[in-house]
Parts: sequence; C-alpha cells; structure tokens
Amino acid sequence: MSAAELLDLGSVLFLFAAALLSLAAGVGIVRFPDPLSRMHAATKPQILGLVCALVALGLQAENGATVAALVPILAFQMLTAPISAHMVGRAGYRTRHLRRDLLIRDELADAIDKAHADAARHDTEPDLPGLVTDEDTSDWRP
Amino acid sequence: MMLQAAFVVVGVIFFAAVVLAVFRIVRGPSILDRMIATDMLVATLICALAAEMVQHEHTRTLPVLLVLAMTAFLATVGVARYVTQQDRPGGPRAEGDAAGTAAGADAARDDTTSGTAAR
Repeated sequence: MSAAELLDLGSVLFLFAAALLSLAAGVGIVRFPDPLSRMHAATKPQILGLVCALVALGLQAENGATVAALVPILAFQMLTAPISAHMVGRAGYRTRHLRRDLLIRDELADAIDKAHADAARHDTEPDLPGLVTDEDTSDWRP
Repeated sequence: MMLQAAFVVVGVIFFAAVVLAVFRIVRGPSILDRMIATDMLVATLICALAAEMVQHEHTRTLPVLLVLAMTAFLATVGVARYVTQQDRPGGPRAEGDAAGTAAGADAARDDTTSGTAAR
C-alpha cells in the first residue's frame, strides 16, 4: 500500500468520525428533553467534528497554503461557537427554557441566592449583572 | 473503488444528521430549540462540505467554510437576545399567569399601564 493510499484511508477514517459525530448530534438534538441538554448534543460536530473534517482535508492537501487556510476556519469556529452557546444558555436560563427536575445541581441559582442575601444584609439592590431570577423575568429587558 | 463507497456512506450519515436537525427545527417547540438545531445544521454542513472537497480532490469551497465558521453564530446571538417566556411551551400565556403576560411582547415593553402595572 502506497503512501498516497494510506493518506486516503486516513482521510476517510477522519471523515467517518466527523460524520458519526454529526449523526450523534442529530440523534441527541431529537431525543434530549430540554434546550440545555440539546445544546450539549449540538456542540459535537461544532468543534470535534470540524477538527476531524479539517484533518481529513489536511491529509489530502498538496501544499502548505491549503493547510494554512484550514487554521483560521478552526480558529473562527472556536471563537464563535462559545459565543452563541453562551447567549443561548443565558437566554434559556432567564426565560426558564429548562427542566429543573432534570438538573442535578444549579450553581447559578446558588450565585443568585448569595447575591440576594448580600444585598439584604447591606439593604441595597442585588448586584446581578446579567442575572435575573425567576420572579424578576417578567420585566426583563433584552 | 472501496474508498468511493466509503464516501457514499459518509454522505448518507451526514444526510441523516441533517434530516434529524431539520426535524428539530420544524418541531421546535421553542425558538431556542430551533436556533440550537440551526447551529448544529451549519456545523454539519461545514463538515459535509469538507468531506465533499476530500472526495472530489479540490479546495474551491474552502472560503465557504471560512465564511460559515465566521458568521454562523450571528443569527443565534440575534435571536437569543429577544427570547421571551412566551416562546416557552406551556409558558405564562398558556398558564394564564398574570405576571408572565407582561414579560414577552416587545410591544408591551413601554406600555406601563397594562403590562407592568398588572404585576
């Protein structure tokens, strides 16, 4: 088996990994019960699947320029995927798009309670940048 | 020959993933579920375009990958800014919760007489 054939085989294996990660995300996004757990499934092809697909491309690259073009793709995906995930998770928590009976631990609620306790002790409004409790969501401004 | 068959299998798996994502976009139930599924759809599309490039041994769609990776998050961020409780299945409006009805519609934002006063 020649070197080129080995590279082809490697590419196909990495593409299989990317495809299976995408399929796992698809199954997860259909079967999981609430947006937070669906977010967890949806991130699989966003980073690891993309890495596998880009490695498959890199193995086929004939020159360094092609490989260099793959780096910013991964870099931008790694920069932007957390932004959208953060915004979706934040909006989902604020507007109660989550099933609390599925949560094992809610550390954000602990932080909110602590802020309220501190505020009560000092007789001020709780300092909650970006945090809104369940009772307060009715007058939440985007 | 074996490899071409493998590419077909990879394509079928990507297609199945895309169908599942579209199913979640159609079903919802909330706008957040749709945006999460859209994000995942774009990520799958990027991977599938890469697979197509490997199969046909060209690099013409590399700029497309770059642009998709750069801009895919904008729609999600935009929608996430304006999610309200009304978008929730069984949300305040469905429950008849008086506090919640003031929450959502942007139209009610400046309407101090009806919306927030009821709270």
